[in-house]
Amino acid sequence: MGLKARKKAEILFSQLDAPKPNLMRLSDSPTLRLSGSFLLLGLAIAGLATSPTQAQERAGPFSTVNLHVSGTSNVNRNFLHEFWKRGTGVEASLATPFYLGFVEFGSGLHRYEAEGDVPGFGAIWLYVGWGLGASVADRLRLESSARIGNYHMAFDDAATEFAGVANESELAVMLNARVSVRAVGPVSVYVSGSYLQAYTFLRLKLWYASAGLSFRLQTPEGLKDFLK
Amino acid sequence: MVDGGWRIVQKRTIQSKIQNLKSKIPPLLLLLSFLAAGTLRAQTTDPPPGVQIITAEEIEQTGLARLSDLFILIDDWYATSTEGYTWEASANGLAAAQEAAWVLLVDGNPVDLRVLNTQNINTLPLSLGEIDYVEVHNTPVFIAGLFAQAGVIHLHTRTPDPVVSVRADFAAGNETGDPGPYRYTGFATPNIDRIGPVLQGSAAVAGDGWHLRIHGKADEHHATDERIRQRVFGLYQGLKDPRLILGSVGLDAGATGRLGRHNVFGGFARYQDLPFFELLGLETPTDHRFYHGGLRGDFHPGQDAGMSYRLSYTVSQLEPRNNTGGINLDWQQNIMRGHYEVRAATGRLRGALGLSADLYQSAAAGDLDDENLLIPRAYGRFGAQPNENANISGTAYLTRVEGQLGFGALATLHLTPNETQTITLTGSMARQPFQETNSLWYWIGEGYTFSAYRNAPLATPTSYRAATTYTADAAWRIRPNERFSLTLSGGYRRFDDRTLASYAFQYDSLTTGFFGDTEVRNTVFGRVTKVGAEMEFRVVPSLRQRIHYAYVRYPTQDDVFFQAWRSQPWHRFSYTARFVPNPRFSLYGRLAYQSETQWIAFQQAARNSGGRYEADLPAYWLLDLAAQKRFWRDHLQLNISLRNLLNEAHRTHAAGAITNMTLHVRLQLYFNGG
Repeated sequence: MGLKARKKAEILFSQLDAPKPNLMRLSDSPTLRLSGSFLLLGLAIAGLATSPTQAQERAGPFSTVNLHVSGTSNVNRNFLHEFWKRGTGVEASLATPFYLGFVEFGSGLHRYEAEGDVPGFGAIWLYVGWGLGASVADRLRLESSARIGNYHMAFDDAATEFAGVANESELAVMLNARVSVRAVGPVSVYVSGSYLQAYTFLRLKLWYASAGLSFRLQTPEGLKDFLK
Repeated sequence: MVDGGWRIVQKRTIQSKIQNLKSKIPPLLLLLSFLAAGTLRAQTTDPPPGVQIITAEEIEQTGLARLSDLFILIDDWYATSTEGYTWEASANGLAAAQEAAWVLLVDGNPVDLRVLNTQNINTLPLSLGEIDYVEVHNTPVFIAGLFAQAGVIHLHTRTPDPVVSVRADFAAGNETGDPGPYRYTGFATPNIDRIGPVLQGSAAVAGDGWHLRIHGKADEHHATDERIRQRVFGLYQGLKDPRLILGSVGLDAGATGRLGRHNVFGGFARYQDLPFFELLGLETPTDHRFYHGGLRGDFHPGQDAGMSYRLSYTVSQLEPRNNTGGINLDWQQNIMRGHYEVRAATGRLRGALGLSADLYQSAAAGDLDDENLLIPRAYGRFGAQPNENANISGTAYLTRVEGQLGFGALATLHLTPNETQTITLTGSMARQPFQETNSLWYWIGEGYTFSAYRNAPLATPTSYRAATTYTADAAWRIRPNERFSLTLSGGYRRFDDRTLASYAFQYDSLTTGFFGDTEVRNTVFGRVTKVGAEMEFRVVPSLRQRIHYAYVRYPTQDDVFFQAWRSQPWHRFSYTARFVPNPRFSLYGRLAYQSETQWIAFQQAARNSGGRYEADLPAYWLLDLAAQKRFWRDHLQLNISLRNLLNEAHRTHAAGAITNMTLHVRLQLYFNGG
C-alpha cells in the first residue's frame, strides 16, 4: 500500500470514527514492489524494443483473430489476503491486429474464497487493451499489453443492510506480458504474467500467472467489415 | 477551438446545408442570415476571435456524455458545481457565476432554463447526439433579439438525413474509490456510485426541405460524496441512496421552401433534483418540471430584404420531492417571448430593426405584489463593409421596465489587414433595469417567501436599481499558414450598481450544512481585467494541438464583488491534442490547470467544520484521455475515456464533492435508410 493511500486511509478513518487499522500491516513487501517495478520495466523495454515494423502485423488491421484461453492464478500476497485466499480463475480474450500493434477484448473470472468472517466473492474482469508484439524466433513470440476495464465483484452474501451492495464495480487496469510458442498449425501455447490494479479506495493490487492455448484464425469477412 | 473545427462546420453546415438551398434562397439572404447570427466575418472562414466552435466530431472524440460536459471544452468559461451535475458558469469575466446570466440558444431560439438563479444545461430536452456544433460567444453579442452581455452557448442541431434515421446513445461513468471487498471488513469506506447511465435516443424522418424529429433522454447522477450525502439526508428521504433523476422528450420540425424557413419545437423535462441553494444552506429535494414550445421562421420576400419571427412559451415548476422537512419551494414561472425583425441590405450596407417582448408570470409561495413582469425592447442594427479589409457592425436597443429605462449599445470592428492577420475590437455598454434579470432577488422583493423555511436572515434592497456594465475586448490573430495560428486577446469590464449576494456561512453541525446571513446589495461595483492567449498548431496533419491560457483578475474595492468573483481562478491553462490517424479511430488528450480559489463566504464554516469543508481550494491539474473507434460502417461508435487520470482529489465548489479519477464509456448506434 502506497504512502498516498495510507495517508488517505488515515484521514478517512479518523473522520469516520472507525477502528483504526494497523496501517503498517497494509504495506506490500518491499520485495514485491521491487518485482513489480522489474516487470513494469520489462514491459516497457519489450514495448520499446518492438520496432514499429516488427510490431505492425504483416497483414492489415483486423486480418486475423487470436483466441486466447487460459487458466490463471493469483500469485502475490498482500493486505487483501488477510481476508481472502489467493484466487484462481479462467481468462479468455480475442486479439486482432490494429493500425499499430494489436487490440484485445477479453474477460477473466477470478474467485476469492473467504479466509475469515467475510463473504467470498467472484470477480468478472472485462477489459479492452492495446499492445505490441514481436516474433523473436521462428516459433517464439513476445507480447506486452495494457488493459483497462471494469472489475465487477459479486459477493456471496447478498443479505446486506444496503441495497445493491452485493455487487461492486470498479475501474481496473492491467499490464500483461505473454510468451507464446507456436505448437501446431494455428495453435500456440503460452504463459503470461499480469499485474492488475483495481481503483478501490484501498487499491487491489494483484499479480497473476497464467498458462493457456491460443488459436489464430483468419477474420471472417463479416467480422472484418464490422471492425473496420 | 481546434484548427479544423470551424472549417468542418463551414464545410458541413454551410456548404452542405445552405448550398443545397441556394436555388431557393437568394444569396443575399445567406448574408443576412449571417448578420442575424451576429457572426459576420469580413473574409476568412475562421470563427471570429471571441467565438469558440465545438463540433460534433470533437464532442464524439472527447467522449462527452452530457450537455454539461461541454464546459470541459469551453476554454474561456469557468464553471463550478457541488455535485457535478448542475454547473454554474461564468463566461470570460462577463458576469459572476452566481448570476447565471449566460444565454442558452438552440437553433436560434432562447431557452429559459434559468430557475431561481440557477441554470442547469442538462435539463434541456435535447440529446447530445443531436448537436451538430456548438457556438460559444465569449464576448457580448446581440443575438436572436437579445442583448447577451454575459456570454452565449448556441447549440446547433443536426439536419436529419433524408427519409428515416435513428440514433441511440448509452453512456456511463464510474468514479474510483469504492470500498470494494473491504466493505465487509473493518476498513469499509463510503461507497462512490456510478455516473449515469445516460440513455439518449432520437428518430427522424426528413425529405426535400423538411424534417420531423423526436428525441429523448434519461439520466441519473448519484450524490454519494459524503459531504453532500449527509446534507441531502437533512431533508430527503428515499428508499435508495439519493440520486438526481432526469427524463426528457422533445420534438422539432422544420420546412424550408419558397417562403423561407420555419420551425416548430417543443420539449418536456422532469428533473428530480437535489439543488444546493446557498440561501437555504443545504440540498433541497425538488421536483422540477420544464415545458417549452414555440415556433420561429425567416421570410425572404425580396432579393434585398428579409424578416424573421419567433414565439415561445416556457413553464418551469418546482414542487417538493420526498422532502421530510416539508419544504415546498412552490414556484412556477411562465415565460412568453416574442420577437420580430426586418432586415434590408444594399451595397456594402445592411441593417435591421426589431421588436421583442418577454412576459414573465410567476406564482409562488407568499403573495406576490405583482405576478407579471413585461419587458419590451426595440432595437436597430447596422453593418457596413467600407472595404475588403474591414467590417463594422453595431446594435442599439431600448427597453422600459416598470418605469425604468434600459438601453444598450454594442459595436464590433473586424479588420483583416492582410491574409494572415485578423483584428477584432468589441465594445458594449448596457444599462439594465434590475427587473430585466428575472432574478430570484427580484421575486423575493415582490413577496416570494423563498427563504422562510429556514428562517435564514436575508437583507434585500428596498428599491431596484439599474445596473450599468461596460465591456471592451480586443483580439489579434495571426495565421501564417494552415498549420499554425496564434491569438492574443484582452478584455476589460466595468460593473456599476450590480446586484449580487454576499453570504457569511456558519457550519450547522446538525445537518452538516450551512446557515448564516445573506445580504443582497444592489450597489456593487467592480472591475475585471482579462488577458488570454491561444495557439493552435499541427506538427503532422493528423495531430491537432491547442494551447490556451487565460488570466482573469478583479480588484478588491468592493467586498461583495470580490467575494462573488474570488471563487474563480486567476489562472487557467489547457493543452489539448487530438490525434486522428484514421477517420474511424482517434485519440484525445487534455491537460488542464486551474489556480487556487477562495470561497470567502465559507471561511467561518470551514473553520468550524472539523475539516469537512475548505474555503481555500487548492490549484489542480486534470488530465483526460479518450479513445474513440467506429465500427460497422459507422453504425456503431465506442468511446472510452479516463477523466482526471492524475487522480487529483479536487473540488470546484467549497461545499462540493471531491472528484477522483473516473472511467467513462459511451456507445452510439446510428442507422439511416433512404
